[in-house]
Order: sequence, then C-alpha cells, then structure tokens
Amino acid sequence: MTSSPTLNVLSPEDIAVEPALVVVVGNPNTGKTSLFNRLTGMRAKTANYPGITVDLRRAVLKLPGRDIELADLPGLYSLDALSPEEQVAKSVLLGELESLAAPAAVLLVVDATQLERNLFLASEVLELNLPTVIALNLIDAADDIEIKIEVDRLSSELGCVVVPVSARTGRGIEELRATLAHAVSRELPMLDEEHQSCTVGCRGCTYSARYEWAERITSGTVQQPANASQSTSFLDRVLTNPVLGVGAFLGLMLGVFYLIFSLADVPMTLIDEGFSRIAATVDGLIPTQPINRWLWLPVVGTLTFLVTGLGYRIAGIRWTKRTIVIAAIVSTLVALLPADDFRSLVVNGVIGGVGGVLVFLPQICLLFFFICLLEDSGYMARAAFVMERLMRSVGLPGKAFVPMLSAHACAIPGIMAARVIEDWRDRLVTILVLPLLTCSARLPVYAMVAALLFSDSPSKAALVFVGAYLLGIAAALLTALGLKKSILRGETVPLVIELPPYRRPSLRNALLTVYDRASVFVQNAGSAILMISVILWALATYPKLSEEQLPPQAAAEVAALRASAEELTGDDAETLIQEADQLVAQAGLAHSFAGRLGRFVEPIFRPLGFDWRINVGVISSFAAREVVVSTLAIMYGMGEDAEGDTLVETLRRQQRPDGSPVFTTATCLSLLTFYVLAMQCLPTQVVTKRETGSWRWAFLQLGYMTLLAYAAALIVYQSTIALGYA
Amino acid sequence: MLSMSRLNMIPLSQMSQGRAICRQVEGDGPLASRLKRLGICEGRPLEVVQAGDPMILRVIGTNIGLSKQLAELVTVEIPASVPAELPADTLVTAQS
Repeated sequence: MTSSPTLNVLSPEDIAVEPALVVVVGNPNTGKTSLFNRLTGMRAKTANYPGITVDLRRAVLKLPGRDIELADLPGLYSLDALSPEEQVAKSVLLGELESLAAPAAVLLVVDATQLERNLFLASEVLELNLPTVIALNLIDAADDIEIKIEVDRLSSELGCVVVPVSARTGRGIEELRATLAHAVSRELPMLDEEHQSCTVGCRGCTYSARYEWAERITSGTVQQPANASQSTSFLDRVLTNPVLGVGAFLGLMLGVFYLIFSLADVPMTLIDEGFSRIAATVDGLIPTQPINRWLWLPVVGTLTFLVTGLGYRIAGIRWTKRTIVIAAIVSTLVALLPADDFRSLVVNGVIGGVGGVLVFLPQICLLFFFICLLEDSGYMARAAFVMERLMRSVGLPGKAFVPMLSAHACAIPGIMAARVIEDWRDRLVTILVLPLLTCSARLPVYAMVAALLFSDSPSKAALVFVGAYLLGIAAALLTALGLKKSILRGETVPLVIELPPYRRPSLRNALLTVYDRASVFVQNAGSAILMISVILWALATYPKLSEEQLPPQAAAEVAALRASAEELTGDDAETLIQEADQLVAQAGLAHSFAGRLGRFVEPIFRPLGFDWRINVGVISSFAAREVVVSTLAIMYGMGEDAEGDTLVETLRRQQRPDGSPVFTTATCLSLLTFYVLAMQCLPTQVVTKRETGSWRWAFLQLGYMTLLAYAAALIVYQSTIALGYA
Repeated sequence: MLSMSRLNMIPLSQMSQGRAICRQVEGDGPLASRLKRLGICEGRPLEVVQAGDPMILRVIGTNIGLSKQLAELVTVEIPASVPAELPADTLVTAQS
C-alpha cells in the first residue's frame, strides 16, 4: 500500500517505518481519554485484539522526526491488574501482548488537582524505566482552586519531563506533542542511573511506602490553599443519601429515558422511511422485463461483488484467498438468481433486514451519549454508590444497575456499559441476564398481544405491559442469583469506588464516544445481521411455489378475487388484487422451508398453544424479535404492513382445524411470556460474544433464555387452561 | 482485644464521622489490594465523612465509597487527642 501525502490521517499499515508505540496511561478520572481525544480527534480507531475482550483506541500522530502511534490504555490505579481492563493495560505496558509491539514511550496522565494520589501509579510506571512523559492534566482546574505546582522541580524530582496541559482548553497540547516527538527519538534527557524503586529496602507495606514517597514529592512541589474544603458538598450529601440519593437517581434516569425515547423518535422514523424509500427505488431500478442474460450476469455479479467488498470493509475483514473465493461464489450465485428472486432478495432480504436493525441505532447512540455525560460529570460513581446495597441483595454489584437500566431501551449498550464492573464474574453474570429485560424491540409484540387480549380496555392492556416488564426484571434478577449460586459461583466483589469531584462533561468527548461505540456496533453486528437476513429470506422464499401449484382452495379463491376485480375499477379493484396477492404470498410462505419448519416443530410448540403459523413467526424472528408481527401478518393472509386494528381483527378470526379460535387468552399469554424471555436478537448475541471474548457465553445465553422462555410459556399456557380460560 | 481498646483501635466499619490512622488491612488478596492502592493502607491517615453502608471516606484528598464488608477488613486507630470536631460517641464506640 502507498500512503497519500495529502492526508495526515494514516492507518498503521500505510507507513513504511513502523510508528513508535506510545501508550497513554493514567488513573481513572484524570481526563486521560479527553486528552487522547484532544491529541488525536477523529483519527482514532477502536481495535479488539485476539484473546482479549478489551478495546484499545489507537491513532497515528504525525510528528516531526518519527510518527508515533498513540494507544489509549484503560484507566488503572496500580499495576496490580485487578480487572480485565487493568490486566490488558499492564500487559501492553510491559510489552507482553503478542499482537502489539512493546511501547517505545509512556505518556502518563496525572490529575493536577490530585497529584499525591496520582503519583502512586507514577511511582510504579517510572520503575519500568521506559522513556516517560508526564502530562499534568486539569491544570486549569488546579489554577481555579489555587493549587500551585512547581513544574520544574517536580520534573527533576521525578526524573522525567512534566508538561502542564488542559485537555479541555487545549493549553499545553502543542508542547506535549513536541515533547512526545523528542521522547521517541531518544533526545530526551534521561537519568544516568535507573529509576530507584521507592520501596527498595522497605520492609513494611509497599503501598504505604509509595504513598509516603508521593507525599514527600508533593509537599516539596505543591502549594495547597490553606482553606481547602474538607467536607462533602451539599449536593453530594443529597446524592449519596441512602433514601434521597436513590430517589434522585431514579428521577434522573426517568428523565434520561424520556429524552431517549422522545429524541430517538424522529431519527427512527427517518431511518424507517429512508429504508422504505431505498427499497422502493431499488425495486423500480430492477427491470421487470426479461433482459439479455449476458448483460444481466456480469452486471449483477459485479454489483454483488462490490457490495460484499463494502461489507468486508465495514466489518474490517481482510482480503485473503478464502474471503475472495467466498465473495466470488456469493456474487455468482446471486447473478444466477431469476430477476424476481433477485428483486425479493435485495428489497426484502438485504435492505429490509439491515434497515430493521439500524432503526434501533438512534436509541443506542443516545444511550451511549447520556451514559458518557453522566460518567464524565462524576455522577455515575454516586449512582453505583447508592444502588450498592439494593443490588447486592440479588448478588450483583451496584455498578450493574446502569447497564440493567440501559437494557430497558436496548440490551446492546447495556452489555457494553457492563465494562464498568471490575470483577469478571460479576460482569459476566450481568451480561448474561441483561437481554431478559424488556427492550424497545419487544414493544410491538407486547402491543399486539395486549390488543388481542383487551382491545376494549386500555387499562387492562396497560397491565399486560406492566406484567411483561416485571416478568423480565424478575427473570433477570433470579437468573443472576441462580448463576451466582451455580456456574459462576463466587461472592460479589464489594464496592470500593472513587467518588471524583463533579466536573462539567465535555460534549466533544461524548460525541466522540458515541461515534466510536456506534461504529464498533455496526462493524461487529453489521455483517452478521446481513448474513442472517439473507438466510432467513431464503428460508421464507424457497422452495418457490408457482401460482399453478397453489392448493385447490387457495387457487379458487385467488381466481374468484381476480375475476371480480376485472369487473370493478379504481380502488375497489386494487383492493381485490391486493387480497389475491396476499393469498399467494400466504401460500408461498406456507410452502417454503420456513413454513415446513413451522409444521415440523409443531409437536414441540403445541403444548405452548402455538399453531404452525405462530411457529413460522418464531423461526423468522430469530434474528430480530419484532419481525414476528409482520410474519404473522403474512401467515394469516394480510400484507406484511398490516398493523393495529386490521391485524388484530384478522388474528382474532383465525381458527384451528377443529374450529376453535387460535388466539385464545391462554395462547396470547403464552406467546407474550415466550417473547418476554426468549433471546430472539442476533445483534445482542454478537455483542455478547465480543464483550466476553467467546461464542461460548453467547450460546449459553441463547440456550438458557430459550429454555426459560419455553418452560415459562408452557407453565403459563397449561395453568391458564387449567384455570378454565380456553 | 484488651490492648486494642486501650490504643483506641477499632474496625473502620464501626467508626462514625472523624479522622483516624489506618493501622492494619487484613489479608493480602485482591480485596486488600483494592483498598491499599487507593491509600487505605498501614500508617496512612483517613477520615470518615459519611458513616453507613456503604460509607464515604476521604483519603489523600479524594472521596471513596466503601462497602461495610470491606471496611471490616480495616483496623484504624483513633488519635488519643480527639479533635474538636470529632463527635463524642466515637470514643464510646472505641472503648466498648
């Protein structure tokens, strides 16, 4: 590859001479990531390395002399490595990670307002004897509260360059860049002797020794104002109060959720309409008349190849022999499809499938945005603090609460937010139970069932929703308790958390985080979604049923409808033709693999009160649960866009072969229970795999949720029948 | 225990608001490390700013939230010369 000279945005492969790796380390809450963002901006890329579940953000900086690659390590308090993130930070720092070079230098970020505390980590890092530059961040905040630091003296005491900076205002950033350039070109004045450990010859506690050293350095270089406030602020007393704090937290979260749902509405509608429009345009572009085969084959083949290439690029898949062969086979197969099938694949399979998942992206982004703001402001630590006691009673740490709350909009940001939980077991349990909580994709299903049961009584319909939410919460908490007592046995790690001072969060930081997380989601889930959409499309389309093969009864009905349509004009005729098409679609789906599969699994789902048509809905909504509504609409002979009253009325009329209605109270409740508890979401599975580092946990999640959903629906159906509600 | 009470040594979990010196952190596993690396280690001063479970400590200029279960691992010494702002009941707890 060659580099383009006009851009200073370079990926690591573009440069002949490997850029020197500089790792950014620092305590949590020191503004480390803000500083990284200030230095790199949009250039940063998030990467996930084999064998680790932790993201590293990296970016190449063009500096005079040698280019450097900056890697933002997770925040850490010490090199004890007590969490998976800290373990990774330590491995990278020590050059133990195979997929990453050993660092050429360290950029240590310390909080100027908390120098003594931050020097603890500094003492450990300096002992590694790597070229180190210290960024004295938040220097403006220190000025504001009249903390004076003698930078030169600090620098000579520590034996490395200290640059006062402010990531917020940009002060000192240029000097920091220049210093980094010197550091990697070994022009930095280094001490003759190795940095002596402050714990050498110390028989007592090494931690105390380091803090005593930090205290000694600080007392010689920092002037604290005499009247430093020693009490917590009034705000903090309220927010950490066992009663008021919980109330404030719930109120705040309610506000955030209200904002998410109201703000996400507009972009979600736009995405939905956008995809419909794209589908309609593409539909119009594909010729309806048979065209020359020798023109069709290369054009469609090339287009498919390009789209596959785009998919590879988004998912970060490299071009190798194998991936090229796969892309070529896919392109050939697609080019060989009859024009009608190709149209259906593109419009329903690809565009419909991708649009169905991307429609949730605004909610996901907004959640990330608010979580980031709350985190940056220092409030998240208080939330974990006040929720600690409540959460511990179910065996989860207080920090699990925010992920669990987020999961009520979408499980994906919830699973990603579980990274704040340090202990691996606690984090895993939280991730495994998160998808049980009612996310917004379940709402269309709840709405359908509520309307089927109580369309005449809004208050009873509301009870259906409340019941479904509570069932999800109870299932999640009980499963967490069960996991902690079985396969993930172990005590919940008790809370110890820094409550950082409140700070005004940075909008820029939050937006960069949202961009970063959203691209991680699209990269990881995108290709899986595309693949499963196409597979599900194929299941629902093949084998094809031509109109001549229609079952006699359906054929007669279709013929009758078409005949009467010919006698009418305008909208009436349209309606009849549409009805005829819907009958054809219904028969086609029944004839397809999905339809056959639905019949095949009938004995399994009969005890839940599902008929084979509902089974087709369950199968087709495997990757995205809300799809069940449109599948049922097709299965019961309506267009896929049928919703609201038409859908409910038609569903009500459906009868089993013996003449009894399909959607009885028992079947509705059983269906609702199943959809509250079943996994039915492929993107979540992909994110679980990513965050836990193995498909094992994603499969466990799928397995236990499906079993739980089946068992609970069985109990609900059978006991409702037993109580006399047919 | 007699010697402990004479020296005003109590578990951190029993402290109400006020200052003390950390004298011992039980164990050397990850739980103890979690405390020590934040500055809750032998010989270091600390201050309870809000008692309860979890409690809030001030250590080296930072507030730290700490669950009672962890506070039980820490033994602190209440200084003999009780500062004026220290509530009287601290001593009662200390000597009981």
